[in-house]
Amino acid sequence: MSDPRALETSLRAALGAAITGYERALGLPWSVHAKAGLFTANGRTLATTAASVASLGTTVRAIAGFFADEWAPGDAAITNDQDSGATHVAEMTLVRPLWPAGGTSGKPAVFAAIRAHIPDFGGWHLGGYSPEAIDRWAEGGRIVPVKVALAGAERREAVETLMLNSRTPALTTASVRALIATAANLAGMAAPLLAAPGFAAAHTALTAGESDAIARALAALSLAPHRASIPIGPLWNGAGAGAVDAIVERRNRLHVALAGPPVHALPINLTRPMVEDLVLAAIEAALALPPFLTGALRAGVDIAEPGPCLLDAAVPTPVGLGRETTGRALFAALVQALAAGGIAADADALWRAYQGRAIAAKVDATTGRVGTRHAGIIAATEAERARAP
Amino acid sequence: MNVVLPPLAKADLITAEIVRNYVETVCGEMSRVVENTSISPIFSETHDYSVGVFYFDGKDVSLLARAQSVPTHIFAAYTSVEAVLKAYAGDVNDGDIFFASDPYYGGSHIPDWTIVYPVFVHGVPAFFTSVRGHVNDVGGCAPGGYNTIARDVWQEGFRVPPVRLTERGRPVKDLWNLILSNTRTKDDITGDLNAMIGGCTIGARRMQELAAKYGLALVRRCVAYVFDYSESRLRAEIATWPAGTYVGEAFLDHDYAGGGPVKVRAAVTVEGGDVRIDMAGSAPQVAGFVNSVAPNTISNIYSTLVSLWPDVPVNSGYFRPFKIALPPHSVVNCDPPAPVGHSTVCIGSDIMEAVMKAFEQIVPERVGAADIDLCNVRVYGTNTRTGRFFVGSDINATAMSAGGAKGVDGWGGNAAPFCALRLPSLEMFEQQYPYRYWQVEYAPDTAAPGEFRGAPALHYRREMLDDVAAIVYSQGYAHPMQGYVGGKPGAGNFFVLNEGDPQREVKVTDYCYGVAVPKGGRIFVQSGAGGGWGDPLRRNPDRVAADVRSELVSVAAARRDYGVVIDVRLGAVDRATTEAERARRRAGAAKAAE
Repeated sequence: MSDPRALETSLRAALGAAITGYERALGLPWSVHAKAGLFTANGRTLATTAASVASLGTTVRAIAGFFADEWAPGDAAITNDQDSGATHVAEMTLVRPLWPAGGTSGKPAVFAAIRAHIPDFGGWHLGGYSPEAIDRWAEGGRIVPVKVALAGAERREAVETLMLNSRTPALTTASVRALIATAANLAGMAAPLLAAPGFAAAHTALTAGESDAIARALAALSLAPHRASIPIGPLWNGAGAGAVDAIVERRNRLHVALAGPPVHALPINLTRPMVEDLVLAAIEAALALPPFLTGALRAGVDIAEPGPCLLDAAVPTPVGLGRETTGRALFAALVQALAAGGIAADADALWRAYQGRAIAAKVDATTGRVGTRHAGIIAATEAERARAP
Repeated sequence: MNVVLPPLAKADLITAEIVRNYVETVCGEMSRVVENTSISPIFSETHDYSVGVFYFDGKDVSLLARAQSVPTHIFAAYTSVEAVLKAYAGDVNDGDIFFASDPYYGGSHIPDWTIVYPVFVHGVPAFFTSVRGHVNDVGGCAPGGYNTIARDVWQEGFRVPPVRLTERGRPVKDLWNLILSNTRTKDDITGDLNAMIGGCTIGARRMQELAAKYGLALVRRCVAYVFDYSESRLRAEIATWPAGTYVGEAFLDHDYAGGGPVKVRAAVTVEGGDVRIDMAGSAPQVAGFVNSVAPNTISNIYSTLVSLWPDVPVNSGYFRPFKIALPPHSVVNCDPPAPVGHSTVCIGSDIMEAVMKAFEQIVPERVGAADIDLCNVRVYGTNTRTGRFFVGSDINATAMSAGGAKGVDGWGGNAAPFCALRLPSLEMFEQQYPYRYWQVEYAPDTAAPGEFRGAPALHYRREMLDDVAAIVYSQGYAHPMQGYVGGKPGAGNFFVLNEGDPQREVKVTDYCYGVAVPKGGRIFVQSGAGGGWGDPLRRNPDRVAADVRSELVSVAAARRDYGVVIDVRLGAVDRATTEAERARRRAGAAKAAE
């Protein structure tokens, strides 16, 4: 495995198969927004399905840090905790350790990770969006890192806890089981690749090539700083909430500076990993980059700390509608700033493409909740699955 | 496999009594451990937890003893122990500690956390020690666990099925972290959870010492005797009751969802030495958070029963003569995902009251207020003195529930089934939360009249020292606690938020959610009380005069409610006028009855 192209093809195949396998296993009438990746224990990206899931690496680092060397082959851990890198209460990230260099215990070197949206995880309303939430707990259950599989066997205590805290217990249980199976498959496919002689060299060459591709795409951006400001909202209650300011500047790498209004009482705030994901998603979309950029885009972008504002929310600040409100403004501000520098793109169209058929796209702008029609589809799907033998 | 026990030898009867008292003492010690090592005032001050020791015969679990505390906890904990045994059948190990909190999985409402601790003797679990405690926050939509506008159980908090917190002595750290991360006050509740485990650990050690001293075989025979003894005492009581069916009813004012009043009906049938308590006729389950799961309903019925015969040792034998029937899909036996957050007390108190009203017709000399028609306010916000988020509960606002009973006036505290709930120290609240109390005082002319009157209502006033939000949940304004045997009902409950602020003042007689009370704002509470016992015209006039001198009863109310005429110059009873007044009223009542 010394050929970077062959490595890229193999990794893409493994990750793609994982995503496809997960989505097919569930067969839902909406997108589960599944993402997958391979990471080192400290969160460095080896491969991902999309460059915009930098927060997956944050999650891996948090889970790996929590369990340290308390891992066995076949273990899998899950979290939805935004302080552990997750981006939404109904978005579950599952990781499974790998020991590609041999060995079956101690600190794992690599983790396979998969993230997907489940239809509900408590909070005020079916669908995972709670505009009334006053804090993080009011948005749904907080699944801090917990093992859902031990030595290959499902852990009843954890899976049942997840099931009990969801209005869609059948779908949630199926989702968690599919995540466990998918991570196992991904780990099985990835382990021989990672263990193959020449992997490190091939991976370095692959990443370098991708960095070059990104640099070429960014060359269209003129050198001066470019800025844009996009108002947040209007919110479901008709209120405004200030604006997100973005400045982009091409230096050795792309430098991004952001500013926003103070932390808001409504759940429109963003955590730092959420901001990181949105910045990379906006750049990836504006530059029309292919999705399999194994961490190269993240490595090529500097994101300055925004300082105390709604773009850097910590527990207990609510964030449940942050991506759909402030996140959308941030996304648009970045695309507009890039456009000011010569990379023309339609922010609205790109946002719609980013949201796709995900549940998040079904949030009713007038209520802040998942729309009635889509909530009905979720409920009907749950009822159907609950009836299934 | 059940253990088959030979009968207890006569010589061992004393040992059996020693064992019984020992286990009750163990429960007391467990309780002290929890009280003295917990952090939150709801544990250390209010005492809102219960402890028990359960006996395991290899197949079935029985309640062996419990500390005098909150009975509704520990009788419901029985189902949590059963749920743990079912979930971990054949997989219970020495050194394991189990946890459960889900209402639909052997619990009652989410904030009641239960620890179940197996006690191994000779390699087998022979007992379980258990602590069930009401923690101050369990995540969910509303700080404090009382979401007055909840429409399903997911809006009430984080649900936990039976899980193993410690495996063979080793903490399962991810489950600990998971449970505690779903509270808003993790530091405090970590201490409370450790206190619960500490209580169980001490209890387990004592039970092992008991088995070591007498041998497990003899202890088992003693336990069987203790159960039989309680059963025989109850059956002897029942044998004196006239056969028949006796019905009692109680009502919640509202269901927190625009509906109400919510009816609870209990029919007690005495027949052939057994007693059947049928709750048919109670309302169908409702939209708001007063629905009760079956274990909570049964626990509240049991709590009423144990307050009727407090001299009989309380254990599973006590309840053998009683059979309980609960209508499905009802407010006393609800289905998931109905919200249940308030059910332990409301509708729990009304379950108790309905059962008590039925027993009023059987054993009138033993009945009295069994309930606390909970009125409470939880305030939350950031305590600027500590910089930390806080959720403050003030169970003082609930406490004046004691009604009169034969021979005794309602006392200034909780009714008998909640007797171990304490009136917390206001100074401790002021230390821990941004409050300043301005008034805590009996209110004149609020005590329910009766031969033995109820406790007066209390008036509370406190000032908020920080900006907070308030959640009020209250019942008993339209349907205050009932009187017995001719006693009158107690005063109702209500709140005034932002009292004296013309722009913000609001009177709350049912509930509110998240009302802002800015720094300097005041909260007023009238905490009503239990009803009187017996005809007020039979009250000793000297006791009425004493109440007048204590400013609990006005001169006008003494005449109006009791027919007692006070000579205001002497502060004493005008006996002749009083006798004439009472005779006139009795005659009027007799005529009206004709």
